[in-house]
Amino acid sequence: MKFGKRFFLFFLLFSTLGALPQVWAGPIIHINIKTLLSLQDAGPSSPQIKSLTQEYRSVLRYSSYKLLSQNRLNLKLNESGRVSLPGNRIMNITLKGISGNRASLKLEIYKKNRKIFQTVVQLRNRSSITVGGPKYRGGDLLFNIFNYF
Amino acid sequence: MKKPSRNCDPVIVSRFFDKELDPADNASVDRHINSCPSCRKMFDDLKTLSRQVRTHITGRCDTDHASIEKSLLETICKKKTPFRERVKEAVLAKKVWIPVIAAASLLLVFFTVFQSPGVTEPSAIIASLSGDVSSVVIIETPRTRQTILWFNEEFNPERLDL
Repeated sequence: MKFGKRFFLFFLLFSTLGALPQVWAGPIIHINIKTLLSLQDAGPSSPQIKSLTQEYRSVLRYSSYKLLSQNRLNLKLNESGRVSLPGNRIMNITLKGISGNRASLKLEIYKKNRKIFQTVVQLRNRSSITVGGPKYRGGDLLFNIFNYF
Repeated sequence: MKKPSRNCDPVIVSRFFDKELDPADNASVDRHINSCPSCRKMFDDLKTLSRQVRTHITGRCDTDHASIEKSLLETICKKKTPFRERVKEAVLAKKVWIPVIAAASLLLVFFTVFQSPGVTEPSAIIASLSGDVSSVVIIETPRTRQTILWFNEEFNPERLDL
């Protein structure tokens, strides 16, 4: 019983100490960006994105989806992260705030240093948004942006 | 009441001893016992037996049952059942399964109903949109309500601002 009490106290102490830096530093959001190429060929889809492609197939008419790259960003409030995309494109993501279970993210896409697209989305925690449309190597690019905080 | 016979009757002596005879018979048998050594011996034997039984019962009744009970309860309470044994007993008693199953069902309902907001609201809400694109389409997948933002990258001289 004594051991149990001590263990509980240590657990409480360490969990409090572990949470302190995050409290001081403000909210941090973790973002995972998957770059996919959707094609109208008969090739196989990447197995890593099976659940994602199942969702896409219900609304998009492509025969295969290939995972080109994956990037991770950890952003603090008003901090920006940059991801290189195929075809001389860059995506800039800025955390504008967190309200309830949604993070406000500013997404900017640049092509050859010219901003071609910008949006602000309120993304639900542990959910993703897919931005798609740019042409690349006979297919269309899809950027799946997943976040959790 | 049958009178005691001259041939000494042990039943009559026993009834005399138990004071079950009427006064007349009682006096008659009393006189007979005093004059008959055999019946006298029977009567004495009955007295001895009765005394022994009474003594035994009284001896047993002297036992303090309350103190024995108290002592036993104290011993039982002092003897701690090991935690593993208690768990084993609780599991084997099967009484534990009812609350366990009830709690599991409640948790299942809670996580099914309250922890899946994805079904009730879209993954993303578009707050603003702008760019040098010719068209933008917002799509939502039917199953998990994943938001898809589709834009046509071809340059449009008329800048899109939503």
